[in-house]
Amino acid sequence: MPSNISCDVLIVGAGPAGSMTAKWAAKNGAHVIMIEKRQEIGSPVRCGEGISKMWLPNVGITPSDRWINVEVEGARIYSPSEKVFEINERDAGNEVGYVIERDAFDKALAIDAANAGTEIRLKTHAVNVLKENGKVVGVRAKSFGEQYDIHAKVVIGADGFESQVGRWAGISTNLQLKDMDSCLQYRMTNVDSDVRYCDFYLGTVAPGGYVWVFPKGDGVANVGIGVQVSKLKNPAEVKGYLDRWIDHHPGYAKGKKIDMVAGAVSISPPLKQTVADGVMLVGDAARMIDPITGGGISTACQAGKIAGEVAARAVKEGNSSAARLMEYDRGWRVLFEEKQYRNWLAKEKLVDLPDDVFDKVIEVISGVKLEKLNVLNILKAVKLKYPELTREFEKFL
Amino acid sequence: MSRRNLHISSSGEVCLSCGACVGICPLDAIYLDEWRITFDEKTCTRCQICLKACPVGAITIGPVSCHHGEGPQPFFPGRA
Ligand SMILES: Cc1cc2nc3c(=O)[nH]c(=O)nc-3n(C[C@H](O)[C@H](O)[C@H](O)COP(=O)(O)OP(=O)(O)OC[C@H]3O[C@@H](n4cnc5c(N)ncnc54)[C@H](O)[C@@H]3O)c2cc1C
Ligand code: SF4
Ligand code: SF4
Repeated sequence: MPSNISCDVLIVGAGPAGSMTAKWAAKNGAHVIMIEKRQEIGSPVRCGEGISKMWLPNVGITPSDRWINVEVEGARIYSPSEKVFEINERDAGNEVGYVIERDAFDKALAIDAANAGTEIRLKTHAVNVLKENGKVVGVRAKSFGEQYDIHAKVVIGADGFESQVGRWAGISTNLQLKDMDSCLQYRMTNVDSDVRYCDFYLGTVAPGGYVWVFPKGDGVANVGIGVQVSKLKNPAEVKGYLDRWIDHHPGYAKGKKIDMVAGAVSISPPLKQTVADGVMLVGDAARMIDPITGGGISTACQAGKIAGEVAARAVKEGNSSAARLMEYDRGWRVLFEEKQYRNWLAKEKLVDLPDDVFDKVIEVISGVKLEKLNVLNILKAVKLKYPELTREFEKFL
Repeated sequence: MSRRNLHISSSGEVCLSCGACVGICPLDAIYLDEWRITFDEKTCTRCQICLKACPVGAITIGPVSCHHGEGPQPFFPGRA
């Protein structure tokens, strides 16, 4: 049996949240171990692979051809009757920018973490947290059929959507059905996607969510769907919605599927609590996905940097109490809590908009010049033409 | 914790090991190792939320021979 080990900072999960946290904790002097249950970091991919770019320098990521497939110019939003609203990258609130090769991206971040001094253990699962007097002091890990304990001054739950570290630690991460999308995506080849745009299709084609087409170049694209779980009634309905959408679009129906990805994203308000004694949650584990876009890579990385820095400082000071780790909780909230909350409020309304209203909204905003694209400016523009449509949104205006 | 693997032998391998059911289960009754879903039948309340969340319909409800709890029980395909 392998003997128990110890470190300063133990990270569960080597996705973007984990690797970012690891890098910044190690850079700041902590002895870091990151465990990952998969045999290969980043694979299988569970992602549409669209990211914005403004935030990358802030967390120390240098764009690289190793993981960028395509740099898009903008996004096109399609209403149910397929009226199109086109936005360029700058106005898109920086929500689009690159379509990436996610497995290569995740590996690049893990390499950064390793270069900063992180020890990485693959095929190693956390099966529970270790606690002493209510404080998390490590995890029980299983690797190659053996079980052992890893003691740590700070434990990071970066274990993604399926996160259990938070639950084991006693932090409530449960989601309501309306705050979660069930997703399916095919990578398809020989399709008519346009490498200049990430495309989004709204309305009952994807109840409470959307269909996306993110181009990867050379006639290849990620064609996927997210549907609000509360709107699902029958098993395999999500697949049915996506297959139907593809069948109705000749430019995609002629394509061939070369990969299939499933998964779930939270579209929830920010969590009330992301730290407890000895533990912090980062990324999808902390439900940091933007409820409108469904994107979570940027927030995972931004929160990860703060988590790593705070963890290293807490270790140096010999204090990893919840009160000390609150510096992290406050830090990520300053960066994106308000946006996540606002977008969740907007999502709560958008998910129930009938198709004809989506059509009207897209018609209006494609006809006017919006200074900056955000929920507020869209509502203002719609109010001018269809005041009755915005009544329910008064509190935003 | 007692966790059991339940395998569907007849309906093929539907599960994509995506973890959607794991994240949504309100009782932490499901666990995904690298590929395989296991679930704790003692904890499961048969709320069927996981059935809805699964994008590909891999979880089905049905009488299972090893079933000891009350009511129908979710039936997880294995990938072993
Ligand atoms: C279909 C789909 C499409 C998406 N498209 C986009 C998109 O286009 N753009 C975008 O920004 N976001 C997208 N997202 C969301 C994005 O994938 C996540 O926000 C992002 O992966 C979060 O990173 P993370 O590090 O928090 O979690 P993850 O990337 O999920 O990493 C968690 C890691 O933890 C490991 N792990 C879990 N449990 C354990 C355990 N017990 N022990 C050890 N290791 C464990 C997992 O194997 C995994 O490697 C999409 C999500 C889905 C499902
Ligand atoms: S049916 Fe059981 S396993 Fe599925 S979500 Fe409900 S409690 Fe969890
Ligand atoms: S049973 Fe369905 S939701 Fe659960 S991991 Fe498999 S494919 Fe995903």
